[in-house]
Amino acid sequence: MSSAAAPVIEVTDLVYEYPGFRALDQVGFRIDAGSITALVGPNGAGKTTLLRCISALEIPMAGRINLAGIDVAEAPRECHRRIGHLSDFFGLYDELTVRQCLTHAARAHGIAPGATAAAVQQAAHGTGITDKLESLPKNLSRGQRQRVAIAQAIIHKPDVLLLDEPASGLDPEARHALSQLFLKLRDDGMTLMVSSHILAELEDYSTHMLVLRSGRVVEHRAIGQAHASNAQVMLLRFSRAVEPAALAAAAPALTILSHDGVIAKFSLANDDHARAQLLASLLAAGLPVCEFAVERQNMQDAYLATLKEQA
Amino acid sequence: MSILENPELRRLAWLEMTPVRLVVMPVVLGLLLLLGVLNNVAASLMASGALSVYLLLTHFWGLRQAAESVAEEFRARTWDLQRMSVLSPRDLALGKLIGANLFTWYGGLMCLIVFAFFASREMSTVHVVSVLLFVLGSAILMQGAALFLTLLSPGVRSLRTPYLLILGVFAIPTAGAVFSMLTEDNAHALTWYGWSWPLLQFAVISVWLYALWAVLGVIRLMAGQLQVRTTPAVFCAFLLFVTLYASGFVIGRDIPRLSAFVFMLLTGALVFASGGYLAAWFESRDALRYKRIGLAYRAARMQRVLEELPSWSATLAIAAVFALLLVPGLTAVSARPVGALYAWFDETSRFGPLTPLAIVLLALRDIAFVQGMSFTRSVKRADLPIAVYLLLVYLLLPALLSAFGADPLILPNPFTQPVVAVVVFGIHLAAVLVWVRLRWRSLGQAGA
Repeated sequence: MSSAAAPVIEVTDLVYEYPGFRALDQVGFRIDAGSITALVGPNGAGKTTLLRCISALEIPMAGRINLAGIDVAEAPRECHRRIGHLSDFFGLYDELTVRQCLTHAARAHGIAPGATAAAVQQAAHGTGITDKLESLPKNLSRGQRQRVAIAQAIIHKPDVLLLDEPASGLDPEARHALSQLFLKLRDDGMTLMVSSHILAELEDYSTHMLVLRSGRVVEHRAIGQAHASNAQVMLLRFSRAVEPAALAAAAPALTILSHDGVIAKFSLANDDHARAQLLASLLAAGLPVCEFAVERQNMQDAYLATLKEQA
Repeated sequence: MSILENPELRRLAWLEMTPVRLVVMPVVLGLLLLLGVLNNVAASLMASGALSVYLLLTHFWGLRQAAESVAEEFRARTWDLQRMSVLSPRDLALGKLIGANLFTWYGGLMCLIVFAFFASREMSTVHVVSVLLFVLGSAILMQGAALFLTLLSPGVRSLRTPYLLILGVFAIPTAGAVFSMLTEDNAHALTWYGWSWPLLQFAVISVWLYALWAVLGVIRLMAGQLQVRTTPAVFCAFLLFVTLYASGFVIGRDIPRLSAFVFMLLTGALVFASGGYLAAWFESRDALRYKRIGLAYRAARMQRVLEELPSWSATLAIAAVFALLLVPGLTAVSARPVGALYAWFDETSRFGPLTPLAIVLLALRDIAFVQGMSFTRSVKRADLPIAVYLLLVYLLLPALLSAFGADPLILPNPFTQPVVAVVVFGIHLAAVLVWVRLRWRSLGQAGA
């Protein structure tokens, strides 16, 4: 496994084009080892293309991808030893048993014949499908098939696991189980990059968020950290309705995002001194403040705020 | 990695060699054999019957199986899983080629044992062994060609069926050739590079050489699928092999050396031009490849430029060199006529010194058009207009012009009007190149 200090994935100025259409435009970012990065963005933002480029399944037009010290463009086959990839429409060999599927995946990833049985057991145990080894994938539920596919992708213990829309079509229970599996894989030392539209589910396990829009990175930060601009959304609640003019008079420099009389939301620098000064001026103006707090953004809010900023 | 440890072969063995199948095949074939024996069928008929079943299994069913070994991966969405493996192109190609046909070979080899048993009663051992070697080689050639054609456009189902039908049509004369081998006394001979070869032995060597090329072609295409970069070198080597193979039927005979050399050049020009024509149609026509070539060239990464070069460009460049060498070559040969056997190519009315150059220009014009039409967001959509263009230029327009008694200048005959053809095709090519440049610019603007 890569050390925590070095980025396990480093993408620099990546450009990918389809005829007449640029899908990725000067994309650059670094992913630290042991993180789980949520790759989010609207449809057509370039998420799947980015994952396929990192997996060396597509050849970019320009730029560099370095994966655990390997230049992906120069050594795509070597990169496959260090990476696991689960595409959005993954396939399984439905006429083989799960054990045969995993045995084939192990051998195809270069695991020696003598070590194959142990690798199969370990992957099956890690993904919770030990009792399904003799079943045919076509007879399994979608959630179980998903686990078989993940077991295939991690059987060679890759440094990095890339998953494209892994929770698509799963019921809430299966989604929760999948979240727990991702956390377990992370704890085992793997670095994960997960693209999904279901932001609530990503929030359960992601440590970082990478937002793509129109083929460009518009935000990449640790979840729970300050916004890129270092501004935070704050919430102010009054015990009775306050006129907007009164609030503006008390704090003229404040960037008010919304105000319905009782609750006002505004943007403020992440600075304790500025907060104390603002609270003092509001109280000095006689405003009936009963709550003054940083609004805890969930991932969906953060994502929408980022898109709004970039629009 | 030994072939027995090949993961792809093992996967296909799990699918193909199920216990039920292992029992059913010998039972069915055994019953057929028993039927023949009980009815006192003649040994020659029993041998022919066994060979027929072998051909059905390995040639007709076999080519379908080989093609399906990749096509099925696309349907089941497992192809990316294979591409993410660390198997080498050779291991994956051989695993598929052998594994997909394990069951057909299982039955086919039983048929060959029956054939050898009955045929040896009526034919010499050498004759029987020669037939066996030929049919083994032709099966590998058919299956390799089927997998090769599928790998040219693995995700396009609409192309696979016509390709396989064409191959199936080729399999019929192959089967016919096999049956003629059973009845002929093997006394026929042919001359190749001055040596006399028994026809059957020559056929055996030829079919095995082409089968090996088919397997090599499959490995090269598989390399492309697995992102292993290759250059057009092997394709050019194959075309050179075809040139040398075809030239062997003339060189070594009683003709002047210069004529033989010119014949080899002429064959080379036609083979390389045809190869370029086919490659331009079947190879990926991704417009962005040219952009990547430009970027690699500007970065002075010449190895990368070679890896990105489409095969047709290399083959047509070689064809053009041959065509230019043929200008003085054919002039010299026509001044010193040779025997009547070669009059067809010496005759200036058929092959003027500029005829090969005209043919290369014609191929370049069409290839430039095909590439230009592919400078679009969807290459698949370009296929129909290209087919319409070819139909129009080569069939409808000449037919219409000749119906009106007009001189079909749009398609001058490079054999009867070589000078006119060079000029007209040169003008056509220049016009098409201007149009291609405009298409390229408009595609770039659409992407900006």
